[in-house]
Amino acid sequence: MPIHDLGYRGWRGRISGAVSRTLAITETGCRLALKSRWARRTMLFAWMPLLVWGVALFASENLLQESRQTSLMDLADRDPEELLRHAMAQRQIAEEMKEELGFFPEIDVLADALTSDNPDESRRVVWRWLLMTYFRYPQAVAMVFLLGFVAPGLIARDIRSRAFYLYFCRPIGRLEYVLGKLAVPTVFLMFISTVPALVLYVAGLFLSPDLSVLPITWGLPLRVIAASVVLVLPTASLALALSSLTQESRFASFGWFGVWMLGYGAYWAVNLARAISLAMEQGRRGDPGDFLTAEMMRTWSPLSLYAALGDVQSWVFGFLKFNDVWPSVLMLSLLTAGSLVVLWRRIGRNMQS
Amino acid sequence: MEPLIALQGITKKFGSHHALRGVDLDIGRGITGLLGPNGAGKSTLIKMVLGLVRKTAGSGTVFGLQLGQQNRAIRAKIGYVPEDDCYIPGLTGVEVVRFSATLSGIDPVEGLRRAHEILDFCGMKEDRYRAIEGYSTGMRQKIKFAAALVHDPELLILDEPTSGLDPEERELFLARLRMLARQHGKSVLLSTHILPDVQGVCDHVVIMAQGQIRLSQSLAELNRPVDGRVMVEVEGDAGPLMGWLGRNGIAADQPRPELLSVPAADEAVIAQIWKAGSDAGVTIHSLRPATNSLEAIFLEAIGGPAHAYP
Repeated sequence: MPIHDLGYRGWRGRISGAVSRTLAITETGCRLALKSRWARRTMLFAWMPLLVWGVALFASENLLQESRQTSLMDLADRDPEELLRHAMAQRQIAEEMKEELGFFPEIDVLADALTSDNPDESRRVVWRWLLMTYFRYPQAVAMVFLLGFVAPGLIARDIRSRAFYLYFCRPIGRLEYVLGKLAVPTVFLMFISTVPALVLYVAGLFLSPDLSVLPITWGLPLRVIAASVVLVLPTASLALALSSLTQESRFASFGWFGVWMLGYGAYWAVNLARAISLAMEQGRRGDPGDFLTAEMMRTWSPLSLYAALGDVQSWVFGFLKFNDVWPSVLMLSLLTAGSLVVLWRRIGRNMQS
Repeated sequence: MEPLIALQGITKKFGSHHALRGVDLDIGRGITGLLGPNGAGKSTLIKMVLGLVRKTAGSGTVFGLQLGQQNRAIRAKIGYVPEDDCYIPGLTGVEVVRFSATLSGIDPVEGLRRAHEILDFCGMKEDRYRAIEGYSTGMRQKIKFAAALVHDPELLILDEPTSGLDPEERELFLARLRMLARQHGKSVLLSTHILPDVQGVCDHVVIMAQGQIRLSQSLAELNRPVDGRVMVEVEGDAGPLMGWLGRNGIAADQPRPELLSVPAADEAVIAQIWKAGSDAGVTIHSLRPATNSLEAIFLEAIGGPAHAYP
């Protein structure tokens, strides 16, 4: 026995409330998730696209500023015929953008805005478009991989190692447990989406030639937060529900990636079939994509989590109307609610086992 | 004095299976042993006390708090060591105990200090810094015990806490339990299959079978001598002595080769036993009043064969 052995000593101290217990669950969950090398790598890579989007924002700001100054000088110096030719050339550029970059969402809105006579409107649309595509492409893909590495083990591991006793023999209820666990993917998703998007916004402000951009874009941080909520709620709920269904985290991983791949595959298969059918009806040949409009494709967005999230984020950034995306909103809401019900019931069952 | 745990008519059904059937039980302060064969309802009873399982019928209080309505307040006063392994893979021993402290509402920094203090008490040395997956069963038991104790609960509920411990560790563990109960006023509910553990540390014994309480009594009561019988221990075989007694109208039992249980209503029979030893040439080592062994009491309570021998 060591000479400094003090035996047992009682403890009387301040006991904090339910919030700190929930935070303890989140903190431990994050710490364990960060032990995954792949999760750390994904987080690092998820920040890389920020450079590309930052450069794009900087370039667009400077081009728009230059174009505005040129236009103001032109108005004074050039004759009306030359101005008309200039306007027609701009229209031509817009049409070519729509033609060549048609696979980007809402490119038509961007093209029209770039050639608009209202420079403030152009800037507003460019900023919104860049942030929307930032959420829709690199961050959505990074999110799928990051949650695939982080979330499957969050509850499956607790089931396998019977860690439920560790939680529920203490003054902790199902709600604190679910919230604490949900906060783990939320923290990771915010780190790769909300935080870099806000950094991009602030960097954009500093990189702009003047601060006149601030009153034009002040609402964007709110849209970023709303887009983050749209991204986090259904994905985190689904990932945790899958994790709660098994004690083998790899099965939850398969389920997670399967949902994304099968949904996206089904979405494209249906759209391809539609395009082929339209081509046959019209008796024309060509790329199937030529027969489909964005509206037609949106009809099947609820089949794919990826497409549905993209549509709703386009709505959040003001490119689509609610009427265009309500099926996707409904699907994501039902998915979130269903996932939370599954999660709630599975945890209840494990508490009593 | 108000009992720590007071249950009245507690019933729990899982589908058509009755896990608990109208359990009436009062458990006071001190160390209480909870005994019963597998499937007796011990674990269900413990989970009911912790508020992890909802009762089908009945009512109860723990620390005067209503069961089913004040479960969190009840759990705040209890430290629970489950029978099964329960840990979070990837954490070290000290991290598990610290995490348990923070789950109980202790500040993280204070939780770490307290975790080290409790691990010192539990005899966990440098291994506390290793990942828990690599621990032996005994080390995991220590971690579970430390996690249960870290928030200084008033009541410890231990489910098979000594399983997997080597004899030395088991003795140390029981000594810690005794110390917690006698010197620090902790109450303990010890669910175990190891009867000597109960005999060694408990003040009170509860025996369950088929979802019912079959016996709830203090160990001192149970250890009282059985009226009218004496135990005679001899050197070598007690057969000749039993034969002599039988020929003289005294029917003895021989639970072990060297031991006899003899009905001895009065001093005359005792004198006859000494004489029998002398006549049969058997050396009597001891002659003492018979007491019921815990094993016998247990078997009798659950409905099995019962004998009165030590």
